[in-house]
Amino acid sequence: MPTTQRIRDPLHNMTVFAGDHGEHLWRLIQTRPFQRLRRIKQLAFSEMVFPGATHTRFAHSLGVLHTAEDLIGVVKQQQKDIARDERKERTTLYAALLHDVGHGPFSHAFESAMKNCVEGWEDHEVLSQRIINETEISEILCDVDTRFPQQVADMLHDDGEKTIHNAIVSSQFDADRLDYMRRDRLMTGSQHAAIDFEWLIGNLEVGEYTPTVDGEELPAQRTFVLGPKAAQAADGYVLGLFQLHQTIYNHKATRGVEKLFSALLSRIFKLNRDSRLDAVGLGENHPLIRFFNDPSDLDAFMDLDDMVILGSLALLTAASDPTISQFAERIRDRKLYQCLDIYGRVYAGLSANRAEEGIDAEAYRKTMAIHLELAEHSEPSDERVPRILCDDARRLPYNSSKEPILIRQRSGELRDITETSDVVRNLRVFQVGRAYFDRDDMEAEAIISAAIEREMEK
Amino acid sequence: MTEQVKIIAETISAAGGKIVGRTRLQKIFYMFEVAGYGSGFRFGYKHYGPYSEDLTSAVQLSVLIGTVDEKQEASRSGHRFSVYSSNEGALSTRREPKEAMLSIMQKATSIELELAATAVLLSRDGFEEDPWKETARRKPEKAADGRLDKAKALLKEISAINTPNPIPSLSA
Repeated sequence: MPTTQRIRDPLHNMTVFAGDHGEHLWRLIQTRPFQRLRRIKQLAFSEMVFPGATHTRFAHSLGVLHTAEDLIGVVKQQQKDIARDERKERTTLYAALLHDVGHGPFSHAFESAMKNCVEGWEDHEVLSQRIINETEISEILCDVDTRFPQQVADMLHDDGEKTIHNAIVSSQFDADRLDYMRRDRLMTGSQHAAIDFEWLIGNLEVGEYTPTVDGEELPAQRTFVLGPKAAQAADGYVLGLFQLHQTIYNHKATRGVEKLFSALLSRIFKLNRDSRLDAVGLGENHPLIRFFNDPSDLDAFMDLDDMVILGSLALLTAASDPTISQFAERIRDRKLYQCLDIYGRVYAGLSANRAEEGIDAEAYRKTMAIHLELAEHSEPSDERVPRILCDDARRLPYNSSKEPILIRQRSGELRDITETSDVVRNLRVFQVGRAYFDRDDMEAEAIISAAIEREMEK
Repeated sequence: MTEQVKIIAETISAAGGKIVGRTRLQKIFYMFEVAGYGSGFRFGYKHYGPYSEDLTSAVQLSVLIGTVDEKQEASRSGHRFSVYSSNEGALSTRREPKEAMLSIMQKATSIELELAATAVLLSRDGFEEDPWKETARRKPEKAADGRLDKAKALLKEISAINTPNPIPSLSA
């Protein structure tokens, strides 16, 4: 008889691992790839802005498992007339638990740097698949059934036959999003971006929609839809996610650190590739260097985490290369580059002279043109650090191109939220265009201002 | 990036001034990469088969600077998809095989093109023996109703074109 295990959590209170199935989940948690997630923060550098946001991908992954169990409960309730598919339920829970094992240190900032450095670098989803198939995780899943590693990896990659269980792992109401939206809000201390979770779950239904590829329709597929009483909660859900992106995920200081970190990693990679490790400050046995020497080495990848990087900063500050030493010091001591809001300045300039209709697109276009002009100042050399770092981001408030949020009307008809909600329909795209520079570098600020002026005169 | 922006507009223009859908656009450029008409876009496997984030960024930039126009249209079931158009001149050099490829790919459906491009990618990534079988396993709904056979025929037709790098026919 397996021992029942319990984990407390600030968001979900308690997750219980009971029976044979609970024991298998518990064994997966004890593996090296999963324990590694204790050392990768969910929000990477956000804790430099929101000091409480030190929660890890370990806690989040357990929360996704908990939420997936809730959603399986919804499916069971909604499909009483359909025989339970216990294999799919298990696959769903394994996929929910393991969905983030492929994240590198500081997650998306690492991924961004690696895409620039390593040709053919795969994103964290592909790495998750590899870890599931090529490590001890595979052995544990095979103890249940030899088909599980492939089926879990397939579900994470949205491959294979689609059932309602796929929606638990990947949809507008998937367990991942339902956990991170609430957890990130809780841990940052943000008081906006709240969602009415209980009401949303209470009004989730299983419905059918017709997936399309470029407008070409495929057979109907089951997914989660919301009942008519949840129309306002759906508005709050869309708005909540949008606010998180505006205020937390794209916070100017957080993005500023990410830019420094990406530039630091890229510089280390380049010097190591050029056989100039002596300028880096790290030895050849350092996990980062071992990984850079063979980015396909999964074992080397799994040696990397936030702690390894942060623990290396002291060594990196002693590097002879100025970019490495100065940027490592800036990250260690939170001496960030100053941010100049190019998009905001361009937008203000355009809106001063005309009505605001259509300004968003033109302001963003001009911002991108300015970024291109400033690109030459972002390159490091042996004597010079990147002087100006540019950042841009665009976020649609609601993207229905892959899968829509559908609200069931009292007539039974399913309608897209943009048809039912004036609020969602009228939200504007969120755009960011910034330049970062040393606050004492007046010349850099002048270069940016001159580029803005030139573009505004066109 | 500037060169890539130019090539995107030229390709849409050469495709009759219009390419319907992001999936179609991505797969056309992937097949060009395979054929040796590369523009430096890096592709990996995503939910819809070969996908390049670089290409997505370059298309967004093209739309912003106005060399490509993007309009949203809706399917019968109300799902939105993008239609790209451009009239920025023909392909800049004499490239009949490339234009022939483009013409064939434009006649296929996006799903058939996705299946064919996916099989090509898988054939280069661990599924050399039977990439069609793996394609069908990963995309059962898309491969159904004879679409996989149409994708095979599509690839056979493209592979008959004399391109700088031969496109594999992947025939059984």
